[in-house]
Order: sequence, then structure tokens, then C-alpha cells
Amino acid sequence: MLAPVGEPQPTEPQAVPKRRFRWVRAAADRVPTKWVAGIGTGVFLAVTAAFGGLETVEAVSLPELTAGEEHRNDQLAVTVKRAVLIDELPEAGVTVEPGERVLALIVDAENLWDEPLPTTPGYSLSSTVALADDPEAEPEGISRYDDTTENPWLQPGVLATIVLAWVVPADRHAAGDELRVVLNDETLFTGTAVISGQYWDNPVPAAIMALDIEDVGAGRDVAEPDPGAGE
Amino acid sequence: MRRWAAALGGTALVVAAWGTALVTPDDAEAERPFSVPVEIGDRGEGRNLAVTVTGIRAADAATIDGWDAEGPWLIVDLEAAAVQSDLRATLSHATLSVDGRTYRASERPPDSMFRSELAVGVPRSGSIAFELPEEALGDDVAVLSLGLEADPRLDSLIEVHFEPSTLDRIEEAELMSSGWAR
Repeated sequence: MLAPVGEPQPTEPQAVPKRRFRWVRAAADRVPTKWVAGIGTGVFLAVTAAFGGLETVEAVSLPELTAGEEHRNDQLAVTVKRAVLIDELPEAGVTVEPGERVLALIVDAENLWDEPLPTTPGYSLSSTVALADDPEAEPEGISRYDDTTENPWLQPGVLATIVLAWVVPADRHAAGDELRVVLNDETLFTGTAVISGQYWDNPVPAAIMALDIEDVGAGRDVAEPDPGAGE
Repeated sequence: MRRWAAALGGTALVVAAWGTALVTPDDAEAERPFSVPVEIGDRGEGRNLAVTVTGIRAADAATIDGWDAEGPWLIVDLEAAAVQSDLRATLSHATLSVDGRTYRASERPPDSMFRSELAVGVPRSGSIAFELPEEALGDDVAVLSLGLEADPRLDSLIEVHFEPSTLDRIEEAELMSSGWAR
């Protein structure tokens, strides 16, 4: 190749690569140092462009569920059945000020773990079901649909119909609007040091669903069981 | 001579260390509750809790004070008292273990002995109710644990072992109203 004429042929095998790449060294020596920054920038830009440039990364698309479809993870089986707008819902433990209404989700939940799960804020159902528009807002009231027990515990393997209620400005939603609900999966952690036992935390969006909002006005039917409640 | 003695001694120490690590109880073991096993009808006494389970019933529905709910339910009738002090003497731990799953006494009945206050020496009677899946009532082994703190570590737990599958299943069971025993 670029080997000068007259150089003795190498006899040992190790000498072969040395001779073969000698031209790289020779070429590199001819590149002015000032170019290095330019070449580096060019390479960086080329690589960035190859991965889509500075375009906003598209969010990972979550599986889309429809109302009444079950979402299952290791902790819970959750079926969001209805989204209801109602004037007030003291049975679910929420109080409204003038100009506010209650947005309620009616959810079937079954505890798939082997310990009872509380539904108090920050646990199980309140971290699993979130509104897509305001994912940080946990439900302000959680109660059973049948006997309005507030913050009920979910017993393993026992299905319960739960009402999750958020207080919202009266003009934010209207009947027929589409409400997007995010369903999260949590991870089971085992406590160390001062925390004892196991707990679920770190909710990560796993599915999304769109429901049509029903407006029941001052309606009483949400807090009282209807014939289809136990399904 | 010296060399093999050192090797032997070293090996012995490693084996001893391994054995020590093996027999050292872990945290859960060291903090285990003190179990007081008792039969139905017998009085079991722990640090600050004395309990007599007077009966266990299985039913499709439970009712009390106008509240009723479909189950299945397991209803435990009991008498309970504190032993040393009224302070923090509430029946706050009531669990049922069946087939690796733990159920917690239901907070749904409007009147129940679960989380109720106890008095020293004067037993109160009433019921606690467990809402269970169907398969739990068909199992052969169940353990009822009763204690004073929701966190049962390092305190006494009164434990009753029984066979849910042998219980007569009734349609509807009424919980006992909580009150002074007899």
C-alpha cells in the first residue's frame, strides 16, 4: 500500500497491522489542528440529524381502552365504567364551593395482590386512576358505590365498585365531552431500614382511555346502587 | 505443620462465620409478634388483650342496623377486654389468613368490634366481619389474628386456627351489636 519501497518485509505476524495502518497516522498528521473542532461539530450534527435532529420526541403511545374495558396489572384489575358530572356528591366525601361541580368516575376494582390495599390518597386506586389533563390531581373523595363507605380497603380477590370524585370548576367539562383517563401501573417495593413490609409505589402510565361525560345534574343516582351496579 | 494449622484455622473461622450468618434471625423474625394460639370458646390472653372467640359464622350476606351487603362474609363473634391499661386499647388488628392471602376485617358494617375501644377487665362483646372471595370459604385452613395495634410487630396476637370449609353457610347473618358482655 503506502509502504515505502525498500522497507524490509516484516517476518512476524504482529507487525502486519502496524504497517497496514501507518497511512492513518500519516493522513492524521496532515490535518491541521484547527480543523478538529469543525470536524467534531460536523460529526455531532450528522449523528443528531440521523436520530431525528432536535425534533420533539413523540410520546410512547399507550394502549387505548374503551369504557368498560378492564386494565390488569400485578396490583389491581381496574375497569372504568362511567364518567359523571354532578352538582354535589357528599356521599363520596367531597364538598363543593359555588361555581364548582364534581367529576366522578365509577370504577370496578379488584385487588389482585395477596394483602388488603387501602384506597386513601397516595395508595392503590388513587395512584392508579388519573385524569390525563391533570395527572397529578389525586381524587379528593373515594367511596364505595353501594354503601358509600369512604376510603374503603380492597380485600384480595373481592370486586368492589368505587366512586372516585374530583372537584372541578363548573365550566371545565360539559355533557358529551370526551374525558381522557390514564391508568397507571405501580411497582411493588420491599421496605428497608425504617420502612417495614411491602408497598406499591412509582406509578407509570400503562393505558389510556376516553369516556363520554354524562351530566346527571343534581342527580341522586350516582350514589345509590342501580340494577347494573354489581356487574 | 504451621502452614496446615493456619489453613485449617482459617477454614474453621470461615465456616463459623457462615454458620453464624445462617442462624442469625432476620429483621422480620426478630420483630415477629408473640402468637397466643387459642381454640374457639377458650379465652386467650396476651400482653394487654384478652379475647374469647365465641363463634364463627359464614353467610352470603351480612346485616346490622339497617346496613346489609352481599358477601360472602365470615362473621366472628367475640368477647374482648384489655388486661393492663385502657391506653390505646383498641382492637385495631383483625386479619384472616387463608391460602397465602391476608384479609382485613371490614370497615363497612356501621357497628363492629373492629377498631373499637376496650376496657380493662370488663369484656365487651360484638362481631367483626370479613368480606371474602368465594374460594376463601372453601379452604381447609384459616388463621384469625387479633391484636391491639394495626402494626402487629412485637406485640401479642391472639390466633385462632379453624376450617372455613366445615362452617355451615347461612343466607344472611346479623352481626352482634357491640356492648358489654352479658
